Amino acid sequence: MGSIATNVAELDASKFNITRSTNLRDVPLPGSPEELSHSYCTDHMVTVRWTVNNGWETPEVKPYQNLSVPPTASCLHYATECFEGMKVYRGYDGKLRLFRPDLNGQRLNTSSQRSSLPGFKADEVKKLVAKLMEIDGPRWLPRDRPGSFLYIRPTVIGNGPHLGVQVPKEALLFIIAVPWPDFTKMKKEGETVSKGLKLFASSPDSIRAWPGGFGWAKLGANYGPSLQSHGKAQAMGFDQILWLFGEDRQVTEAGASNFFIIWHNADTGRLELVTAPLESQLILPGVTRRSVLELARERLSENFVGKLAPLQVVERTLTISEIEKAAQEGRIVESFVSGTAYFITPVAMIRNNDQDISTLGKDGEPAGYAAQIKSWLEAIMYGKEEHDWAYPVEEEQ
Amino acid sequence: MKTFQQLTRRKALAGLATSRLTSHSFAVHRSWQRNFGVTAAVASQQLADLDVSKLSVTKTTTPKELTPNKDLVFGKTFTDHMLTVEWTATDGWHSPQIIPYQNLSLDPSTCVFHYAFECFEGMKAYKDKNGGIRLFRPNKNMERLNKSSARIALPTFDGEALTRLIGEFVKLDERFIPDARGYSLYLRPTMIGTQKTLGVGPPGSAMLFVIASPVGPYYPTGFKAISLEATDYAVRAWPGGVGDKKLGANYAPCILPQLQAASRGFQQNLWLFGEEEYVTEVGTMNLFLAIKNKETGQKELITAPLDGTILEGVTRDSVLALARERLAPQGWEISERKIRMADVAQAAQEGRLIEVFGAGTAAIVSPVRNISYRGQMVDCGLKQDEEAGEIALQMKSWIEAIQYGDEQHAWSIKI
Repeated sequence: MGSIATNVAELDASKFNITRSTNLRDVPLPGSPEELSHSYCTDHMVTVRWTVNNGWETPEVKPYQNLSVPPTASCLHYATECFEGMKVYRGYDGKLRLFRPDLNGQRLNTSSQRSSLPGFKADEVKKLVAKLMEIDGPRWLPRDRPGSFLYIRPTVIGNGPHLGVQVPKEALLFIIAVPWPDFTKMKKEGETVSKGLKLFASSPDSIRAWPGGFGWAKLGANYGPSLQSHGKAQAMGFDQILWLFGEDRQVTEAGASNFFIIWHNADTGRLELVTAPLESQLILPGVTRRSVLELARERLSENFVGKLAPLQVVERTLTISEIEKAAQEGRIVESFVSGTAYFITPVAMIRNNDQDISTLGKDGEPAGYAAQIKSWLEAIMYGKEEHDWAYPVEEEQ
Repeated sequence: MKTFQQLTRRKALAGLATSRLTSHSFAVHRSWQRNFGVTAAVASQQLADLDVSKLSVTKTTTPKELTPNKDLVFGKTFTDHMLTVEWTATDGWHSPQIIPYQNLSLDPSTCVFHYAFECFEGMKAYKDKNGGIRLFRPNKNMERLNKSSARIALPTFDGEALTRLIGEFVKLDERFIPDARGYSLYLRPTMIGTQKTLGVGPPGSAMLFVIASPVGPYYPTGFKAISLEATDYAVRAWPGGVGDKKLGANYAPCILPQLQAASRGFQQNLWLFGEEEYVTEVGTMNLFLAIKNKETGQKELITAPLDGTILEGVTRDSVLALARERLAPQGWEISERKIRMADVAQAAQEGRLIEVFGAGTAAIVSPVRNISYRGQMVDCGLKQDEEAGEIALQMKSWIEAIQYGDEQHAWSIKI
């Protein structure tokens, strides 16, 4: 599945055409309605046009503005579109950092080609993102607000003046950045703190992904269709759908996040961190998922960390009945989901066919693994720990 | 020219904190009720439905030159105008507009770009021999668009009203409908979510638009039977998915497998499903197989049943209805049932595979010469010098006679 066009210009982030906004917007305050809208973007955006004849044009940084697309644009009809979710972090040392942006670039390239859109050198995406943050970072993530972040959305869409189910002859890569509510900082006083998410296990009449499909790529096509189930779950007071697959009801993903459970193995009694495998191509290869697994293997698999006992990391198919049985037998220690937008969040319970399964530990609390992993990741993101997963952004003065 | 979303960013900023945001959260709540019927507490507030009487028309000042019939390419040229209607969760359907054909101006955070909140229809307007304009079973397209739209959390509408609006639009751009057999005006009603937000939620605003492209015959120099690659390495649709709806989400993922098949010399994928390798669809068409029964010799016209993984094609439905009406009396059995690819291959081997064809709006029927399956070529019954089988030819002729008004039929609606 190589790149579709050859002998045309590659994506090249070494040069830019820059047009400055002369109408800078007020930066919204944390928790403000503007921030909660998930659409109040920063002053600038990056766009790169692609055509089948000339390949990638020179990237542009320009004032945030509407896109003018023909009514035939293939992204409006055939969902030729894919995206990434990533964040830029204002460190406690005053520096700006991206987190593993190479992985987002690689995945965007894979997703783009899976949706018949052009491929590119994955490395260039982080440079495009860094350029946008070099310009908008200083104002939108002020140095006096360390520990804050912006959400970044690189997107590739099929464009073009012709209709027809075919490889788009025009495409647009664009990157926008938006303040994103940090719900962990928004607890009101006196509010009961929830112990975790409530998940609603999907029924067989709604399946997110299928082998030979595209559940493993970040295509728009995976999101809109999932909303119906998600809406039903929310209307019943649940936070997310837990997507099950197959006759054996395999646990795949939770909403748009990856799902983890920590339990004592039914046969050996040994402590394990289990998540669904990538090989079945049913789940998204999350950047946070991968980071959780790598940190757990490196830091949690041999010695105690505080009161946290060492565990073994296992990527394997797991079923809802295994979780149910583990809960009945008191073997569950903790459960959580991971993703860029909502980071790492403990799971309190799962409802499966009217059966409520508690996924908290024995004392009704999460054991603290999720919190520990989250704090390690935050230390890297916000520069408390030097780590090669952090990619520094040099800002304009 | 007007742009669709005239809110400048500064205006949006001013309105954001008060009305827009409160209406947003309200909208989210409302649209769940709309789509999922969880509560029925909204009867007090009536949302506006699509209203033909509110149509406004802004004519173009720069009419296009017509493309000669022989140069028409599907989806390449469009008429002077387009029909657009905006919808918001708070107000329902706004006034329909016919405006000059133009680009849409959309905020980069618009949900259609990110989460595939989109669905569409394909239908045609035909000119009959008396110069009248006709649509073919538009109610079927309206029903399906409503089903698709509801499935993807977009709004539903009064189908008859949209048909009438399309009628007004087609009348205005009538000069673009080629006046020759096999030619028509392809119509593309499209629904997109237009809410600006990167949060994944039901769109609080949407737009319905219709564009029109004059098209010639799918096979300008007569039928050309195609070769298919039986595809088991990629799936188009699955149980519990959305393959039975005309969502954008069903199309982009199928382009790459089609390229792969094309690189091996096959025009289309024949989508197999499951361990049983059931034959489902061909490319973006429904599939029909004519097979003689091994024991009884009974001739059977078979297509996959609507089990949730098959698009409810209007042409599929028309072929079935005509076959039941006109082929069954000649002794044909008409079946909507599952059939395994292995059984198709065996029928071919035993000389019982009479013919195979795809059915869809673009070509009506598309005859199949052979299917590559497990390293062998399954011959689909056409003679060497034949490009179409009898049933396919018969169906095309029956359906066209109705579409172009030669035969008086309830399926053909005069505008």
